[in-house]
Amino acid sequence: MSAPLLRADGLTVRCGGDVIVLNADFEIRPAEVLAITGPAGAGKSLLLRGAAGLMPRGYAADGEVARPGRLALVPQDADLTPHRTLAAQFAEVLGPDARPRAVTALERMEVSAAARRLDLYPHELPDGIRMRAVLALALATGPEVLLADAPGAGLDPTVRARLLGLLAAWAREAGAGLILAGRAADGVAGPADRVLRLDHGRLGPPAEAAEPPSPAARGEGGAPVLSVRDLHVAFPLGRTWRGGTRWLTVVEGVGFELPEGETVALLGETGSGKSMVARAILRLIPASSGRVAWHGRDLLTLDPPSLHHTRRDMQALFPDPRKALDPRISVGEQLAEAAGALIPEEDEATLRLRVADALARAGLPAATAEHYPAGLTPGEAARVGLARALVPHPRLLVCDEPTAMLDPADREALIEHLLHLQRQRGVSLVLATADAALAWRVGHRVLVLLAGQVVEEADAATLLADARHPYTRALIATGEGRMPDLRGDPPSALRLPSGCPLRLRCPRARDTCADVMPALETVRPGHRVACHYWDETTSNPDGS
Amino acid sequence: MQTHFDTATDSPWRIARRRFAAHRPATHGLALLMVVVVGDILAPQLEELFTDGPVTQALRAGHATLAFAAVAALAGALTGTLWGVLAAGLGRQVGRALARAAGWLAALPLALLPLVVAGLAGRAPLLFDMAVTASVVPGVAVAVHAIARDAARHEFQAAAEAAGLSRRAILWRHTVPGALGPLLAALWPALPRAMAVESMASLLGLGSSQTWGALIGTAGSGFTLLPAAVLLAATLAALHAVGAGLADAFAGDRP
Repeated sequence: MSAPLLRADGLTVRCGGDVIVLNADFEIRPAEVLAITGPAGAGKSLLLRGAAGLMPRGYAADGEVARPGRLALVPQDADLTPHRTLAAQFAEVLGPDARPRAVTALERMEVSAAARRLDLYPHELPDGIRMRAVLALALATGPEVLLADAPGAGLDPTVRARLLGLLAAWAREAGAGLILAGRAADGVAGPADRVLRLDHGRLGPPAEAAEPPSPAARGEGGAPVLSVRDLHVAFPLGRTWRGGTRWLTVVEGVGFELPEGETVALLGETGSGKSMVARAILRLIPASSGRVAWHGRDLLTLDPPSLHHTRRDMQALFPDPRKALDPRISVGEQLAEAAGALIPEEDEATLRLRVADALARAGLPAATAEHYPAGLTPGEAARVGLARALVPHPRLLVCDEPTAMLDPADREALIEHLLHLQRQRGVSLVLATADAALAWRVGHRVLVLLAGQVVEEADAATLLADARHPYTRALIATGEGRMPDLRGDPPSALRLPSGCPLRLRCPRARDTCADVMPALETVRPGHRVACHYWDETTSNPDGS
Repeated sequence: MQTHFDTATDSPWRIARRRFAAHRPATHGLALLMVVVVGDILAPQLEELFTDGPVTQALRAGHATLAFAAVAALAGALTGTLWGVLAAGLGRQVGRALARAAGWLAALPLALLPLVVAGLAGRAPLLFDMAVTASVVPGVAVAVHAIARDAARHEFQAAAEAAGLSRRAILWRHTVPGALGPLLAALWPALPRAMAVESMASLLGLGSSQTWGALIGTAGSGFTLLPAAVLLAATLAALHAVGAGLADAFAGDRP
């Protein structure tokens, strides 16, 4: 076995009298990828800085660290100097003849038109390209060890997974060591050979990995309680030169049926329209056209009193649980307010009981009612949001990325709560998520959305075994920690390409794809896909 | 200074109060303001004790200065608030035009407005008062527009709507109370601004002859100038310090 490139023995990071990381031991060998995961605030960034010997002011690192001669650290949210072109910044690091090496490094990170982009300033580059350029700058120096702190953490899952895959491929090819730090949700463990977990200041092996969750069982397929048909949502953007209104269509022709006690998962990344569908169902945003029928009554045409009455049946969970709570009102008051608004006929004592019951069912102590949202952890806030939703004993929960801000433990707890509710009370769920693994696990039926349109739909097991759309296959690969086969960044919703919105990233794209958006075609009963070349793929997707 | 509060159980208003109390310049500024106001109230009694001199004149002038600044700032704040709320609440084109106009005007050196008005219309007290008031309006409108626009975008409003609250209930229970703290912090600077504009104009011989600015303008020597100048500078510094304390108290997601 080759000697380690970097070795830390008893690395301890302190801030004044506080110990942030205690006696961390780790090493990285040539062509090895190590992931260090942990919750937010665990000290991952400081651990990397300690390993690099670049402690910020006010912090100190003890212990022994054997470093290589060439080591590069890419801090979290690293950015480029705003007033200098990319070429100037590469030249600063690599010397006057940097251009060819800069182009090679940028192309390695799949930056298209790399030579041309070198003459641009950072603000002229999209976020994804800027992140790639930062990493390329680090790669171009030829480090023996690269330490990357949450690289691409703010990017879409497929873009981030590809970026991490490219970094790992570089490390293995160049014989360099690569340490990726980040939360579990940042996907750093995906391309890693080894994973360590930092929690409460101690670095150690991660908890035993649970069995990969199996896809939700095929639904019973009873009569639908919720029926969404040809839903369109559009927002006015301004005036055309002729005086008409310009519209931004964010949801186009989405439809599904949800039987009682089952789950429909709306799976897609930023700009896919999943949240808009969820909110349009609840009439939190206006739909342009279509039909959303709850037990046969069209919610989109209900008058305000009837809609108010129907809200008892349909409740919502929001992506950022703390922001979904008014910071100025205590938890108990907010739950009581919801109870009073939804069930005005009940007296105060009954409403108080209802609130206490909802808190208990969400797994929260009664004392939480006295707390203000600022004092809640994201996990507690998510449970408070769940408790508020449970106050009127709803029959439908519309969950808009309910686990997006949660750590793995809180995420697991919330999902278990939702599944328990479904089993015990037959609650139906609409789950909008960018997390493919969650969609397979919870959704009886999964709709994959891209640029506001459904590009593939089937039951979860079918999609997992036989996804036909390249976008679905990329999402599956990302969920499983593999490198997806989609290049580049998603296009802006304001400037979608003609034809298929995926064609600029798609490995299968041909001229036809630019002409017309493919319609949904039936692969088999219950499985539809919108791709001109869906029949070219085989079963058992491998992400390539 | 360490601020002691419990974010879990302390009410946001209590936290804001403690944050303000922990802002040392703000508390010192508030104490100084209280001294100035008390001095202003006691000015008649002091005149009986001391001979009429620069100090008693300055204390007497404090009454007119503070009253004028308070009235001008209040009128300016109300007008600016109305402007900002309309800019945020009216339809796309009208709202945008109002917001743009406020932005343009706020970028102008409006402290010179009373001088321009006096130059054009002569010494007309009503016009002078209106010019001082108008000098604070665009700045207030810009700040209120930003607050009003943000106040309508909180996720907890969508959550409250999903939880069955009517639009009216959301407005009065969530939106308006949430905006009060930032609004107070945004409106406060209108007070020192109105005072500074009035004092500058009065120093040049415009406006009232009974304010600190006028006393400074007509003072013959350093000694006669000093009490009014010190009081004006100290009051302006105190007002700005209190404004900084309010901004600190209401900063962040919660007041």
